[in-house]
Amino acid sequence: MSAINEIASLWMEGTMRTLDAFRTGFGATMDDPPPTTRSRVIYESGLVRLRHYEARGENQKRVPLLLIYSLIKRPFILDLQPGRSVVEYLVKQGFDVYLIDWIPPRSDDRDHGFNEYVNTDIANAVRAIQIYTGIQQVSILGYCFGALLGLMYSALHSGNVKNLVTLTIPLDTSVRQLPIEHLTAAMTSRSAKTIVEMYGNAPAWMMYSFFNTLAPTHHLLDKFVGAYRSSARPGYLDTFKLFERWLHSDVPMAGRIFLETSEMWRENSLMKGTMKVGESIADLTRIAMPLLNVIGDRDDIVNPASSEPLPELVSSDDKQNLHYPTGHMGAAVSADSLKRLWPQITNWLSARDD
Amino acid sequence: MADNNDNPRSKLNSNDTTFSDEILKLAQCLMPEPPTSKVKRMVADITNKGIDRQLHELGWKAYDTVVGAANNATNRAFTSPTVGNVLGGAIDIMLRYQRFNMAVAGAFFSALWPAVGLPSATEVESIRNDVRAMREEMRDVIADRDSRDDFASDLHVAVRESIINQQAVEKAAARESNGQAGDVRKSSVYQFSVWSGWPGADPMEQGEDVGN
Repeated sequence: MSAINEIASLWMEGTMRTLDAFRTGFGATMDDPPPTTRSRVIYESGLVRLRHYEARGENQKRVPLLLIYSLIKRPFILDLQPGRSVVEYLVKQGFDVYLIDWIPPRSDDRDHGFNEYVNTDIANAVRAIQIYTGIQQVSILGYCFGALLGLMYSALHSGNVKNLVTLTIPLDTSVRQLPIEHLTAAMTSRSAKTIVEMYGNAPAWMMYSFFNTLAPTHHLLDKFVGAYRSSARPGYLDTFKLFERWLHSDVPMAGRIFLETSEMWRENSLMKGTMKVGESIADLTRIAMPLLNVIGDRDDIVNPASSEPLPELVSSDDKQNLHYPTGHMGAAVSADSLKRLWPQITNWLSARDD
Repeated sequence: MADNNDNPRSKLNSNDTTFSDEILKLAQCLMPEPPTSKVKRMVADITNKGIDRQLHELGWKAYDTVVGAANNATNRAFTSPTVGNVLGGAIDIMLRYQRFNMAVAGAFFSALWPAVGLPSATEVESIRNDVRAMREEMRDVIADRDSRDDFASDLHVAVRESIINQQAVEKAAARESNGQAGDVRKSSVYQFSVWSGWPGADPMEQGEDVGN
């Protein structure tokens, strides 16, 4: 076994060194592609930049909708291209959309943890919306890790949240079925600490390699072959290129939140009700607002079984799981989801807009 | 017409022709037509019979099977506790090696680079920092410009005032509740503080869209 260990460690070392050299040599993260929907930056502070997408159409909704995206990639996947943009769809349905466009952490942001993200950044963003619109309560729609942040905010600041929608939320980390769950579990607290001690923040290339390691055949070969096979479909290659650009849009994860996340996943503390955010426990029973928990049945990043228990943990009367046969990113980019899933989400929100 | 057999040159040629004909016949027996022509003819036959489509489909089926098997093998490997343990150990070892390498390489190259006239890692890092600072300055300038367009700076001030007001209210509440300040943050009562006025009556009408 020690020989395997040695070989594996050498291989990993070489790979990571190569990646590190590649990253240092080729430098900065790519810029975002041109947006589909026009926005204006209405607030910027800490690591939050708040974009406003103005509602269109006659049937405009009263309650502002705040989108919270994950921390490890750029959020332009939500506004990918005309006809494949969640933001475009929402504004056309009359929602005044606000998006937290997370500013990638720099080396001096290594101490940014859940407390700073939730109790300062999201809290300030909500406060800015309150002042901007004059409306006290906002609806929150969180995606993946953003759903976790939105959930914590809703638990700690429940009075500010009118409705909560969580998409593909990784909640119950005791579930061990998918490769990603085993790989995450394989990382010890010592490894996480060493990464933060060495780099300050968890580097973007590390995040990228982590996800690529999970499906090497797909990332090295099959996705390109798939693109070739589908290239005759109109517009497919354009979408593929944009999606690839998003796949390469990893950003570093601030050191403290990386450590706190790995601890949370090891301990399953949010699910158990022991997760501390700053001075307070993120107690999910304090969530009493309407909750819609959207689950992708074909999700291979967030196990559907990990998201399912959420409604049982909150004290809302109006709560439900919405299962949809889609993958982790399919909920955001597939044309089918925009035709069938998002109308259900917007109908649910519209019914609770008063 | 004169008989060619009378011409000695023709005789010679006749002898040569016979030999080369034999060679040609032998070659034709061994290789009746050039390989490229043969392949072309075979492909044409296959196309005419519609076999190429079947081969094409069969090829993709084989590919899908191989890729599916590879994916299954990867998934099985990652879900195996043994592989998980090995991987967990490997990550630890790798990180420690890397840390060690960084320290050793730093010590070695810090002496080597100046000797061969190359910049040290510290010098490169300082240039990087300068570039980063310039980028940040540029970003700030752009943000400042956008802020003027979008009243983000006004909103920034308003949010700050709101936070200050909230803190004052929280402090007062904490004093009233005799030092139970730790619970104040949890309360939703103080989560929306009053802000006295908005600089623009209708923010929707202000300025131009700036895009992303």
